Amino acid sequence: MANTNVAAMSSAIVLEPEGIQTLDVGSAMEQVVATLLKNGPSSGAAYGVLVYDTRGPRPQPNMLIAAQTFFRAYRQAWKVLTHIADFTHAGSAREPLQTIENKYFDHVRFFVGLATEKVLKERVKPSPGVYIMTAHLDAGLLKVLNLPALPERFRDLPLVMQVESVTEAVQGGSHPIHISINEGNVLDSDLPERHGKIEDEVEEAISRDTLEWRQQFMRSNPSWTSAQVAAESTSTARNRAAIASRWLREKKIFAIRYEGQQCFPRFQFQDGVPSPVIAQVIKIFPEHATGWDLAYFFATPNPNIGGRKPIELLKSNPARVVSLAEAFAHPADAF
Amino acid sequence: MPFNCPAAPADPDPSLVLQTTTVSAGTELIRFYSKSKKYPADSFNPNTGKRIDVEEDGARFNPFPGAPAPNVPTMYAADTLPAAALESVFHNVDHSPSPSFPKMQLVDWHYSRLKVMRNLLVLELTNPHLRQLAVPGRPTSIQEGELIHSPTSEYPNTRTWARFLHESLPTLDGLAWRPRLAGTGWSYVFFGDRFVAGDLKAEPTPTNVDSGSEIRRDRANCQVGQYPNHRIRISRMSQNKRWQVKAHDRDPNAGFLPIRATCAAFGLPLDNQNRTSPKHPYLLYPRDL
Repeated sequence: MANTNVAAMSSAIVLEPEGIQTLDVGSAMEQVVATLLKNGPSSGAAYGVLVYDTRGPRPQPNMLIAAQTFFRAYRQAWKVLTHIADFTHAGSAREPLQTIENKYFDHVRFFVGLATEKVLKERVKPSPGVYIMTAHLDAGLLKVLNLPALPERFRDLPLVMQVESVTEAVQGGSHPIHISINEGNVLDSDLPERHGKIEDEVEEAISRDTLEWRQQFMRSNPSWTSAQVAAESTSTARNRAAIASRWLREKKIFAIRYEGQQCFPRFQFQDGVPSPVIAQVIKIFPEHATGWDLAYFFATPNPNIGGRKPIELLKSNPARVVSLAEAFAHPADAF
Repeated sequence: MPFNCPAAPADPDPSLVLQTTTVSAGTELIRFYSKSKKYPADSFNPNTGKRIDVEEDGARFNPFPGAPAPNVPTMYAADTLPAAALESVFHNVDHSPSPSFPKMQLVDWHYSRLKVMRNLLVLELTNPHLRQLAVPGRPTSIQEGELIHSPTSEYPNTRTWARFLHESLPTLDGLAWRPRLAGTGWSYVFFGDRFVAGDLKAEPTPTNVDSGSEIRRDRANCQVGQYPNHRIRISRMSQNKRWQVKAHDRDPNAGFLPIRATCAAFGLPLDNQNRTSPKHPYLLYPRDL
């Protein structure tokens, strides 16, 4: 914004309750910042200011087109506002002016809070687009206009919304606002695609890393197949072949799937039968936990025991393993 | 382990004079807490039956016994969403190039916004404020690194400082510190016995991080407070319908460690711009491949 040439913007339209008025950009911007001015006089009643770019067609002042542009800008700004999840403002006059910009909506900007004339001059630089002074749009008026109300967190705050590009074309050949930044509708089409692509990349990377972790786990933790479990079992049960699936069903052991095979990590067994501590740990884990979640818990260095793994304590301190499992499966309990 | 934490003096020091800080009435905080316990957002964790000397029985500054007997109820919160998440959901993530985070654990959490209704007195656990705190048996004072950057295995000792400060300063409402994984924002622990009902006001419905019901896919991509390079996103994992908290930065020159650690803690750098190696600096553990 620092390089914006004010002279290049020929004029601005101010929308007021009584109609529109064409002003030079400097005077129009005074109306914009009036609602943010600390100890300022009454801020007038203007709803919004449309600043034109001389590179575009020369504006024909038209109240209806200006109003339509304003409505569109309001909806765009509102939509972005509802995406801002983390915003806190005490609403006090002492809190300094904040400028909120959003990476994926870089044509919309919000100025929140009060500031002195000097600060406002530095921070709220005029650029082509629509400025909306929310202080003058009360809930009743918005309702009549069929515009959505501001999210509650942003009500009653000194707030100006700036939309740099209003994207819909207007019938009749002339864009009321020259599209200066984003061609195309960023909000509705481009954004999900961009997010989707990044997310897919991340998914892929996570899957790769997870696979790598699992391979590492399989290399360092020997596992038995169900046949091996049966062969090693010292159980005297009648149906020894099905012993692994029975123990699995009884939640005495857990299984992981690796390369299409059901595997039973060997650390679960002691002298051919399941260690009782395994059943206790399985019981602590939530229903949705998988065998891999359990494997991860048992075989990952645990910061609570100085980076040792819970499997190292299976024999020496099973009670501690249970306690560690509690903390792992219900991490929020401590908070 | 780079940092150990020495234990605090065993007895309170009523003559202790420290520079405290006020969290003003009206401040909004965010609190991550247990979904399964079903206690209200503005209620304190009673720490019932938890032991100060068992690492996994609590977190950095809880539990600790009050005077005379039972544990002091505590609550953790922070002034930004990432700070709150990093010091709760991700508090165990280790300081290493490829830390892992078991996604299963996300389900255990939800978060609420809290409004502070009266001025709260806290002690900032930063070195300038810690200089007045002597460590028994050594000439140098307790340090931020020892208290905040030490690993989970030091919790039995870090908790003794919460106990010592709580006992020595009867008007203290809690402690404040910079999140270990990020260094920006403020994290707090509050002492429940110094609060009365109404001191904190919670929004009515907590937000889940594990399921999509409350959070739209692309809803939260926002600037966080005064740190324009820290962003957090909560979005749907495309394959298995679970949800994930993500933080990333947009300025490729915005430094290396804190942001990278933040990204790592949350599972990713969203953009590849400032990655120098094809290896992702994280390992997040999804349930099913």
